[in-house]
Amino acid sequence: MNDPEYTHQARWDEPLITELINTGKRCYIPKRFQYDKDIAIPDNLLRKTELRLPEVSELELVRHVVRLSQMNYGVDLGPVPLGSCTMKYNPKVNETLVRYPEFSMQHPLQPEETVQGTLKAMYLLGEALKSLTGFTGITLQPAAGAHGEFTGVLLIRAYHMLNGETKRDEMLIPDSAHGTNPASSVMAGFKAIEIPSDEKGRIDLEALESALSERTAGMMITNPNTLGIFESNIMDINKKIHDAGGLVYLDGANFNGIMGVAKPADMGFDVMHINLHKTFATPHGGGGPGSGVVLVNDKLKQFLPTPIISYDKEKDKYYFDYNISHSIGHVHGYHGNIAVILRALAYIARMGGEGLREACLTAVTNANYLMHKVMHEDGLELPQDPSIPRKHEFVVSASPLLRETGVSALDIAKRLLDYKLHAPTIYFPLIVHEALMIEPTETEPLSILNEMADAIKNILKEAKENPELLHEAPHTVAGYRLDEATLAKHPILSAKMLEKIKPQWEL
Amino acid sequence: MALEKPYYSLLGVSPQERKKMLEEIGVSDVMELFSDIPPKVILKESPTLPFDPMTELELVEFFNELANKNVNPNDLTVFLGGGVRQIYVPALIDELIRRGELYTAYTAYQPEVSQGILQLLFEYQSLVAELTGMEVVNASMYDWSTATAEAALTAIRITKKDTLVVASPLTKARKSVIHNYLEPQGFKVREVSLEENSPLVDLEKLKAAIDDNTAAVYLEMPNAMGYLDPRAKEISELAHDVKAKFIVGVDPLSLGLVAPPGEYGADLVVGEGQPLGNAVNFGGPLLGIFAFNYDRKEIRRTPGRLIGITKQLKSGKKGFTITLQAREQHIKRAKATSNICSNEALSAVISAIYLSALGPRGMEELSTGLHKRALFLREKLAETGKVEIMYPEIPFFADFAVKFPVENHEKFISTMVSKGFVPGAPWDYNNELYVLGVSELHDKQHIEAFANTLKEVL
Amino acid sequence: MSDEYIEVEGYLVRKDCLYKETHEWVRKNEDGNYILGISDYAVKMLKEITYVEFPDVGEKFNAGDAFIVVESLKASGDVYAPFDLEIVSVNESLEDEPEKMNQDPYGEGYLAIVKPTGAVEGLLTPEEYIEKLKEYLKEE
Repeated sequence: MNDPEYTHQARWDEPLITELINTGKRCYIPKRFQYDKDIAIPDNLLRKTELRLPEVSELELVRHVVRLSQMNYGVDLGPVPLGSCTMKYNPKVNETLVRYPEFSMQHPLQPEETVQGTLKAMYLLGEALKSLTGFTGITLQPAAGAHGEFTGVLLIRAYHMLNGETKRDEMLIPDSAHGTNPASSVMAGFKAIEIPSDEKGRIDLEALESALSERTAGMMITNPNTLGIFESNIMDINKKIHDAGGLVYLDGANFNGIMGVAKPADMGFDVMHINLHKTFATPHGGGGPGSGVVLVNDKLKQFLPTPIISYDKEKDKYYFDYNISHSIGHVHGYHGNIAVILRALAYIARMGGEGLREACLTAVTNANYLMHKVMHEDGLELPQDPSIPRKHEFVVSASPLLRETGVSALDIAKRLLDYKLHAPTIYFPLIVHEALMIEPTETEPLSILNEMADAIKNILKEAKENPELLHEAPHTVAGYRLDEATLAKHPILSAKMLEKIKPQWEL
Repeated sequence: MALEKPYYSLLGVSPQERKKMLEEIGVSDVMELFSDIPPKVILKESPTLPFDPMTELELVEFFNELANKNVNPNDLTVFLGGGVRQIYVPALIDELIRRGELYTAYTAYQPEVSQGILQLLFEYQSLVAELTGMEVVNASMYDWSTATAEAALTAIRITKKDTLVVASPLTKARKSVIHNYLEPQGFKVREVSLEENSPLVDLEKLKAAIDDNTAAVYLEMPNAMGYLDPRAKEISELAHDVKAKFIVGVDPLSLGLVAPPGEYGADLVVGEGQPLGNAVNFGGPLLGIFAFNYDRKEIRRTPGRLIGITKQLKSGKKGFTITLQAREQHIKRAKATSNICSNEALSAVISAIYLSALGPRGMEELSTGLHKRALFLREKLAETGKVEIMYPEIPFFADFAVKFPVENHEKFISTMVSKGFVPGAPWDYNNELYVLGVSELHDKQHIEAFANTLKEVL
Repeated sequence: MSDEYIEVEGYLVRKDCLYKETHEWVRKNEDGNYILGISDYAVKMLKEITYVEFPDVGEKFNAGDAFIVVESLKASGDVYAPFDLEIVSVNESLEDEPEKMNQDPYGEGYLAIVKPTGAVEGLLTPEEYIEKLKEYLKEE
């Protein structure tokens, strides 16, 4: 097992780069352009304030970033078992492929004939995702999952508008949903109506029925849901919503749990987004960029953002297709996060349909295996029916431990960092107290799953013997717990604000 | 046989290990784990994709083929701007950003193991604050267009008024994005028409459009056609007179030379951060800049992640963490200021490194160099005697508009492409008008060759 | 101090206040206005409070309107008007020291002084509020 006494991250006292000003040093020097005539911008439009950017040599800048990188944790260092985040390994060849200048140097306003390769790649990704989901239309514009949700519910809105159903202003959302669902619905002009879960962690059918009305625009469903549980009644649920005149949105954050095993369109969903940075192995980048492509069935195709990518078989030409009768227009300035789309295509091409199904089967095996290793431990409980198999993730509650020892889910999460591991998602979904939401993914080896189980067991023991140790964890990584409260009361958000406020602690 | 599956390299568990694990948890067939899915939707076999599994080298060959269907960028001189731009990415950026500790990291919700990326994002916020002349910059929005729409929504929440007045010509795409973010919630966008024969709005009409319902006035500097509005300060006052917010959209590459919006009264600054060190990548990922001045109450109306600096409880030393999260969707859900979760963090880190590499002199040289290339290009185009230079009196930064005396524009563009040039892009509302932009890649030779080719073709 | 409060499983309920089941408390001043805050239980649920967003003085609200927002590190809570009311003043000292709410929720950590603009009814006595509180605690 990992030794929690060992140091697991470098701890550099690296200064802020903004302190290194007025040194006279140079790093990147732009290419010169000799042209003797004066600039042609009137004086009142020219910069008057001094531009206080750092002045460092190339080596200093390299060391700065390398040192900081040593104070950061990613999948390349160890597992990141965050539930609903699907933090898979990011294949290295993909990073090389997207940097080909033939891809990376193309401007989005270039004529189609100069970018046939990129257009073909976009088209192929679309076709592959249609095959995997059973849908018939796709837009690649959304730059993130939440952006895809927003786009998808805008399509639902456009659908009702065209049918003259302007009174449909309610979007139903289970209480176990990601916060992005209600937030996206509100941005698209809907009221978010919360639907409770039943004791098995699934959508409460009675509550759903009583919420459906002539005001129902649709429902956003995460399936498998955030407990890792598949909504077994999904066909029935989708039918009820359709019968009430609504459409059904699938939040595809958890697509890894069914990929290649079942198609969402077959279940009756009308529209879904896919997080390419989750299911399709593109890097999360410490927060982004991601991609939240949206797939639709025939009901919604005519509303997709323009342009989509089409293929003219006769001319063997890929092109931007603006021929969408009731398009909602654009949700992004150009065509979406192309470099992410290329990586996802590379991943799919390497896996094939067969490999994607195997990835799903393995991810689900890994989650259930780890769940069985920890669910009976003293201090944890499995909040919903243990006889239901989980999909790609599971949720345990640390409520018993908190009652017994005062050690919380947060403390467990922080202590895991000392075990050369990353914390799971905590305190989510909201319907489980002291939730630990764990998604190991198919790329984690058996040895790591066993290490995670052992670390959790050991932490539960430590909680009884020395709770203080856990309240103060982590101890062996770059940072200690931070004074977040003072920061939230008196925020310091830039070097400029720091200079003004001059706090009393050591920089 | 089993070893022949190319995708085994991306699975952590071998078939025999999986079998053992399933036995251990009392499952005889992996499909039992899917027994709660209605049998009629379970696929008997994997779906058919346009390609079979590939080994790494086969994948490389497949991508070589795709790459070869694109034009080789060395063979095409592209005079395109419009917010995004071809740039040279300094070697140190690719070297540094490919560190797995950074790009394979999750969002820094566990700050203790994420101090590296948090400090880099704090530095991004700080450096872009310097560049724009504002105090606070969030850790990124998706792109310029979505940042503009979110800025408008922010102003609407702060002022409790409902109309955005647009004081610049917008691209169709940006106009549509703004519409999609504002209209569903019942908010309005009022566009102001341009002065005759000018790329700038009619000031009298702008004055008439601004009223007590105006939540914000939005000005682009430079605008979508490349031009700077010398009346920026005056427009800012018009907004403030009715207690509306003044939102300015910028091309950050201009700000080594052009006044930062903080100097002429901006309350919110948005813009496209891609050219700050990020390859153009056919238009994505981009980097939505979102900046403003600190106000205790108003900051609670803004979208996006914010990284703050504070002290570590045990060591007393500086540390970084995401702060003011109570505005965000994972806490406030339906009442959040935005639905944004994943953003463009790594693009922001790249921009922090790029701005640090440039320094103040590099930034000024880059801005000035772009402006001078544009001046030189305009001069050479004028010298052809065949190109009509539009709006010669209006100041511009690195993009400007011209008319080419052609009838078949499609044919003209494809002829120019076949000779190795993209002669700008037709303006969204008038395909007689072309907007041309320059980049750091351009030398005098490129520009002269372009002008000579135009002389032949026109 | 102990005389002024009743303790329920670690949460204090002040005897001379009236309550709403959404955890607001009020206490009548001599001038007929009411001093208003949120209960010890509500404060402890929010944990460390970092910011309070007040309405303007003079603004009017109907019973049940969300009219003050209390923000903590990882949560945000709405405070509902217990009856139809007008804002007389707000506790501005919370702007710099929101922690007062954690330290003294029924005293220096009060939120606002309000003037009823309609009937003051439907409030819970401390004993009734304690019953509600026990129900919530059982559900947890």
